[in-house]
Amino acid sequence: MPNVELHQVKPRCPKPLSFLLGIALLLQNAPAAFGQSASSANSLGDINVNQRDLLSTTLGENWPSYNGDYTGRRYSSLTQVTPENVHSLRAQWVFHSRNAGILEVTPVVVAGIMFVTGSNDAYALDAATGKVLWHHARAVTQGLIDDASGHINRGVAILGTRIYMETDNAHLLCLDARSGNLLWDVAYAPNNRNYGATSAPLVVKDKVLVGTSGGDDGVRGFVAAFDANTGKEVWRFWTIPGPGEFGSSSWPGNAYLHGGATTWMPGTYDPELNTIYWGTSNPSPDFDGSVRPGDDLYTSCVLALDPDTGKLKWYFQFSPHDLYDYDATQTPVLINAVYEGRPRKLLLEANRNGFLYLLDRTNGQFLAAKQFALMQNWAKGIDATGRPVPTGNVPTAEGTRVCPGFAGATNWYSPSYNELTHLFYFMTLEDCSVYSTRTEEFEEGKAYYSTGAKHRPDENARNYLLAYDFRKGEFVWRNPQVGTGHTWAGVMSTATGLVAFGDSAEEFEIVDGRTGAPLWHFNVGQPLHASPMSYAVNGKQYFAIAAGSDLFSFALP
Amino acid sequence: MKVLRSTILLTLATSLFPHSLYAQQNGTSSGQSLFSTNCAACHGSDGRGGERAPSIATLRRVVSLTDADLEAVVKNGQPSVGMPPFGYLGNQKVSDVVAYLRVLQGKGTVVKVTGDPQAGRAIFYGKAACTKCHMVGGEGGFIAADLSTYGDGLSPEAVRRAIIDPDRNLEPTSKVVEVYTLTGEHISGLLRSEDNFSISLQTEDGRFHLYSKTKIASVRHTSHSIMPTDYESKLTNKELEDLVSFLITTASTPHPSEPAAKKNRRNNGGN
Repeated sequence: MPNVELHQVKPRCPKPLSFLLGIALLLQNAPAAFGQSASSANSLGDINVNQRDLLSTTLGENWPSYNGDYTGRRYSSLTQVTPENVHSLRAQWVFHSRNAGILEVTPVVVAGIMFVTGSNDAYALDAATGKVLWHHARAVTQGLIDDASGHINRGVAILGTRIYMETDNAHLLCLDARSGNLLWDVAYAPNNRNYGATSAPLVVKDKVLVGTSGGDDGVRGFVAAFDANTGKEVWRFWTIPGPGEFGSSSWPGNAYLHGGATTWMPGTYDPELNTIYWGTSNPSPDFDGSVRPGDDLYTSCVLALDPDTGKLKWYFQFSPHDLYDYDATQTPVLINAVYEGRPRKLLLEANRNGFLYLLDRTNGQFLAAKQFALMQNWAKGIDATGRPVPTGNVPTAEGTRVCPGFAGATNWYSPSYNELTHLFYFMTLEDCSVYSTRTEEFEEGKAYYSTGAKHRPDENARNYLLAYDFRKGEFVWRNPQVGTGHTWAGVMSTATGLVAFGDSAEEFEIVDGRTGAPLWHFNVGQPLHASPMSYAVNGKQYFAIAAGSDLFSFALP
Repeated sequence: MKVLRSTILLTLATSLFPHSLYAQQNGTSSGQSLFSTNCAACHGSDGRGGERAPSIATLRRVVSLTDADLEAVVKNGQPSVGMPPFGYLGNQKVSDVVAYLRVLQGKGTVVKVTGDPQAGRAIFYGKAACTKCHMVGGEGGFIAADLSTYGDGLSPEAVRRAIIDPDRNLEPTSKVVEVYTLTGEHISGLLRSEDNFSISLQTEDGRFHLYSKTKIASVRHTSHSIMPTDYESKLTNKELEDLVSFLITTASTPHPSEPAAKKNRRNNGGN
């Protein structure tokens, strides 16, 4: 398939509703039409997402995928809310999920309809009122372990008139976006019941791409692609090489079947390079490196894959032979910018291991790294090839204090790159853990950490919101967060230079991206474990974020 | 032959699990009295809903839960919607209540169908054109209810009645609503949500129409759906019987309901 051109599409204005309706209209039985050239998601209430909608790098009224667009920047082009008027922002509605603990979803909005997931349930909401238009209920799965037993779900992908979601037990569901009816259901992670899934899928061209969770539980990671129409598997890339394959020396015997490198967040995609960028988790077992000698490919990596075939183009490993649960599933953000005097296609990632990385995404070449964690004692630094130089602080039987800790210096919550300020914003966590290790056998039905990590009572964790100038390799500002909890909320930004995020005091907050100065906040009264987004209906801009088991939406009066 | 086969299959399916059947029968009399003491005040003595709580005998999202899920709900309650926990009853009584609820839901009963489900399938997809609006197993339309599990545990008579007299017992979302806007437009569709300030309809092309009531001149709620009301004359008795048989047998093929949850939510939120 030829490369798809990257179309720059201007933000759509609401068109007047055209009505040609009467109930005498007969329905088409044909399944959703894919690849039709007719423009789609531009009439309010009319859901039909085409490739152009997905390829647009201008996020206007719609927010058609987990990160908004394929670049992973979480950058909204909407300009109605500004630093001058943001103080007037007010809550518009609250949606309460019926079947979930803490929501980690980023809603997808198309044509004024919002799609939300909570556990295995999906909902369509009127994005202006929060009213439920349909609800697809599916019981949560019993007998799951570790993270999968939390039944986390981060949202849907959409194409045509269909939405796609993963379930806690790693099924890919295809639902009719107009009714929530189940069209098909594919179980995609067989042979090990420690698999789970928490991510939103990623639609690329005519395929739906998924990963799994279970990287702490002895599963073998993969990225898999399914035909969006039929659900038939098209390719599967195993993130742990099998016997005889490149990298297999780290995986003696059948250790490769339990090596982790799961793929529990959506990747990003560059249509011009025809490449997807997908992060992998830590190795399994987490804390015992003795059973997995060497670098443990392809754990704690970003993988560059061909979306048509699943073939590996290149990889970059952030934390070779990781011993600290340093997943590399943070969003690999795609930026086109002049860097060191010439225009480049870059990949910027704030990694859980405490360092920021800048890569050339055409070939994976390492360009720069910068430590952002204030407390960091596992690496002396990053060498000229991008490889960390270990300090020798490793998990022991008695326990070793290592920073960043078990929860990571940052994590899956989203970063944002802003095209107006040219700054990269992300939330960090300053904390350390005491890591212990003991060799254990893998056992299905049990987590596979090979002992544990704990928080020292005298250690005070703190979040910081950071603004990073990757051109200069400098932090422009660093906002310490105050509160009793620590936030698991991501960051987004807008074309007016606003940076929206969830803070450590259970508040949704907006700051000035240039200075970090707080401009507005709202007490959602519940812990935030989700990343925010922005959309518009009838010319009105909204911000939405999940908190606790609720989803909040805000707009100007 | 085929009629006989379906009956045999259903009977066989239940006799394959004599232990669970016995347990159910054993538990239901205790379950019945526990239900009337603890549940009926809100859910109604038939489980079909009361003033304070919804139907747990018929709502798809409740019926489709596994026993373990239902037991977890009974034990822990649903604080967000005001249902108290009944964990103090102990495990045995909780499973007795759930066993009785299954009886109210019509689960586990042997339904004898007298028509030919295969012929009924052909009518469903062909002559009766049900798939213009309804879906079974991912095939069909989207505007009306997904019938994949609809017929499970229903009597043939109840299904037949729903086909020939579709406007009895309509869900609000099945009713046609007419909206007249201040600019003179007229939209006719199915109600998806409504409050004092807004209304959402869905037209048969799948499009949602979302209105603030400030833009609306009038709303008329009809008491009919978009389902044809002439199936009694359009289909022969035999065809109706076959169609009913298809809807019941297709729904009783096991739909692997996912096992229930251990509500063990970690604080760091899910790899």
